[in-house]
Amino acid sequence: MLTFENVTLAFGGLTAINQLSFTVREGQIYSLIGPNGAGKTTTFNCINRLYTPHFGHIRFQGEDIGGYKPYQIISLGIARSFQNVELFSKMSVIDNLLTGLHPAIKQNPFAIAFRLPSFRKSERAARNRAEEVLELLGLSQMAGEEVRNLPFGYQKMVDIGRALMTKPKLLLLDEPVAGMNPTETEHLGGLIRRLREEMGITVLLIEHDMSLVMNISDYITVMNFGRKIAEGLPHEVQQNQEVIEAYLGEVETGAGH
Amino acid sequence: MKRVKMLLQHKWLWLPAILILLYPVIVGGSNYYIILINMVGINAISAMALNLLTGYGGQISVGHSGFLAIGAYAAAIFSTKLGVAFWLALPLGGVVTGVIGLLIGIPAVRLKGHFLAVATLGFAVSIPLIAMKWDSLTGGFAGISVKKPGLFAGSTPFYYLVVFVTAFLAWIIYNLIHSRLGRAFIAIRESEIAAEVMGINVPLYKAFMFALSAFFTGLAGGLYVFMVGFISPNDFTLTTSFLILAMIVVGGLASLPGSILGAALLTLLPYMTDRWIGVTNAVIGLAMGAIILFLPHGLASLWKRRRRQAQAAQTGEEGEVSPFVNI
Amino acid sequence: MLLQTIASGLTIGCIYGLAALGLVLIYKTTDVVNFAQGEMAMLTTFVSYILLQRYGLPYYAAFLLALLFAAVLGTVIQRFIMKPVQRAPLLNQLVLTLALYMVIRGVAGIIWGYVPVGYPEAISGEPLQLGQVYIKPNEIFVLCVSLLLMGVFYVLFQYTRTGLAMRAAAQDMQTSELMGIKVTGIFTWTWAIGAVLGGVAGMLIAPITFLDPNMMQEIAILAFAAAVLGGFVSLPGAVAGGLCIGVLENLIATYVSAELKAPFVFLLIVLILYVRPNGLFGVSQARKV
Repeated sequence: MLTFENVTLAFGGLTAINQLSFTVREGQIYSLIGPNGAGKTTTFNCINRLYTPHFGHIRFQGEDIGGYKPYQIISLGIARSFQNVELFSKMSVIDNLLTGLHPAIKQNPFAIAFRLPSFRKSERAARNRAEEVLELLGLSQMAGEEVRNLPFGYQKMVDIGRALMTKPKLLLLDEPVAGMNPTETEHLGGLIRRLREEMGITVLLIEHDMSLVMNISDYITVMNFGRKIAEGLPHEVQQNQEVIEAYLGEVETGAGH
Repeated sequence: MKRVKMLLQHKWLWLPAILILLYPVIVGGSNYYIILINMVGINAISAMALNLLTGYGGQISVGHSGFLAIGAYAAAIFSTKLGVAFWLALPLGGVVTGVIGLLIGIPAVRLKGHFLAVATLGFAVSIPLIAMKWDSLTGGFAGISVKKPGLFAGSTPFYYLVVFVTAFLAWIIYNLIHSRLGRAFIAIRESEIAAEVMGINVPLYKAFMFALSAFFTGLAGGLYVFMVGFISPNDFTLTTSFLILAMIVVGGLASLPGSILGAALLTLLPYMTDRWIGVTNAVIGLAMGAIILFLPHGLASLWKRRRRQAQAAQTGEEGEVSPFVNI
Repeated sequence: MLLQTIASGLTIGCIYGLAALGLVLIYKTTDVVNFAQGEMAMLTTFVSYILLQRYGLPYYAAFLLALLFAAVLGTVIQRFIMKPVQRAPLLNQLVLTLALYMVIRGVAGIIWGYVPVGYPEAISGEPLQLGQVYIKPNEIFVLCVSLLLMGVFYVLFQYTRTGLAMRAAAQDMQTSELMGIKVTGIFTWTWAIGAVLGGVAGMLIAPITFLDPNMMQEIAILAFAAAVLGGFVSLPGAVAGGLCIGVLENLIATYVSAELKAPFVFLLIVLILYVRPNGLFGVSQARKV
């Protein structure tokens, strides 16, 4: 479904992604793991076209996405959540979700200005969809709250909800459980599984919480310094010597930052 | 219709509504007092238009005096040189301004904050100079006189026209804000990156935002020229832009009632003090300063606070309305 | 002719540069764009005029005393007006400076009226000839004072403890406070210096514009444009921006159109900004997600 072919991206002299290749198949929950600064979020930014790789290709459903603008990516069926929630913080929860539906709503300015029936109909449909998603995430009572007043854990859920609005084919989740407690983490793990099983959404996940990753992933790619250092099924990756060293290295030197 | 009913439920809105409708009778048809409220309406339209761009969309502009001038000149030129009827000249003036707004919006796609401010500042400074120089079109220093529209020639009918247009445009701007379009504008203000990832074509929407805001401001300019019957290069200067910006901050950013309140305050104050030269500026400045210092979210926050208290009273304690702690 | 145009453009450009320097200094340290800068300068210039005319002080004494007044004015404004909103949204702070602009304008109008009066030059005398260019002694004075001040403040900002504290406060108000930097004190210094720089610009330009409550309007706009052209965060940028605009303005007025010099200057600025959205000396501020 999503293929990276020898993707390389450098900032100045620093190679953020180096010859990265991997393939996410339809229906998979695919995890991207690695120490901080390994280039995981940069990988997401490449898929979103926020960065353009210097070499290599990224294909989605067989098509090279290099020719698309960032705002066109969601219409291909790729939605995303952010590591440090990039929510619209002064908007209500439901308005955040409705914004997530932006590319799917058709309203012409004339119909909006005069509140014509076509506008009211599409707005009602959009609200119904938002309520569905809120229900799914258990956020229904918070629909009217301003996002900035919510605890961080809930904000992360809203962020995911916003990405779900357009019924994406591929969902990119950037550290969805960071800052959540074990119960919430388990709950979210269940939710990710349901997204795949009930809605057929393919998930590409960046996560540091190994219990979650090992629990729900079908396949894992491990990155370090922008390169892929290992890939395989969860138990294979767990026993890979290079992976263990990369993480040990982080424990020894990386605790400082 | 549902919304109209909802509005009617707010009993305290009735009083100002009745006052506004009966106003010409109350002041006995006095030209002076009627023009005063007309100016409030015209400024309220400009303030709402600027709030759409700055309060909701997060794009600063100190160029709105330029849009007012273009709207006024365009409407005047359509009606005097081309003989277009008033009811058509007014919206055409808006459309011309909207197109110019789109052009101004193009650099805005790349510029942020102060850089955008300087681009719009240049626009505000340049329009009066261009109007002065281009006298074949604008009449130069002498300006253009327009005939008052037949049906609305009297000050009382024109008053009702201004009230109607202001209310109508407020309704339209409200509708725009509570739609896919408005949500995209707010999203751009809050996080351009997230907006882009959510499928919003940020450059296009920014330019469109400018065009819309300019369109409404142009309409206000058109109303002005038909009310005064005259437009000349120095009617709208940079100070006008500053005043409109002050109106939305004093009234409340991202608030339409706030825009109207701010416009009312900063229109009425100068009129009350204009007998003493210099005092006007000082009083406006002091009022602006006092509101920023003591009501940082503008006049609209008074009403929001009241509404929140009313909600809290209905549901018991305030804590139950919002189960979350502010962080 | 061309050289002469450029030379007088540079003189005016120095004055824009000084005013821009004051704007950038305040912005860089306190994050506020001070729209009242020009009016504060106008007030300072009026004070110097009174000292000159009513009390008959010599030019340099009036000049220095007026600058003292400017420093006190800056301090008072920072302490009593800007400090309460230090943590408020930026647009609020900006509108507060607009409020100041209105108040100072109004008060000056009430006290001194709106009839422009002449203001003496620092040095009078016949123009000197340098090659093909004629320079008045006063223009040399303007150049010297401007360059001297620019140099002094550059060194102050870049190499002294106070300058270091200013730069730290500019980076992060809270952290600086934790590190023991007295942010309020630094902000006050900045406002005082900003007001002094503006005041100098006001007194240097007054012989050309004449003295009235509107004298600084155009200068302040062009100083703002100069600051932006230079990137708004760069001190050398502000000076370079000022010189650019001074020369451009003079060239346009001489060779294109005197009435339309402002539209053309701004058109050029917008074009430059379109190519370099962060100004000539600015740094891009890309956000990370």
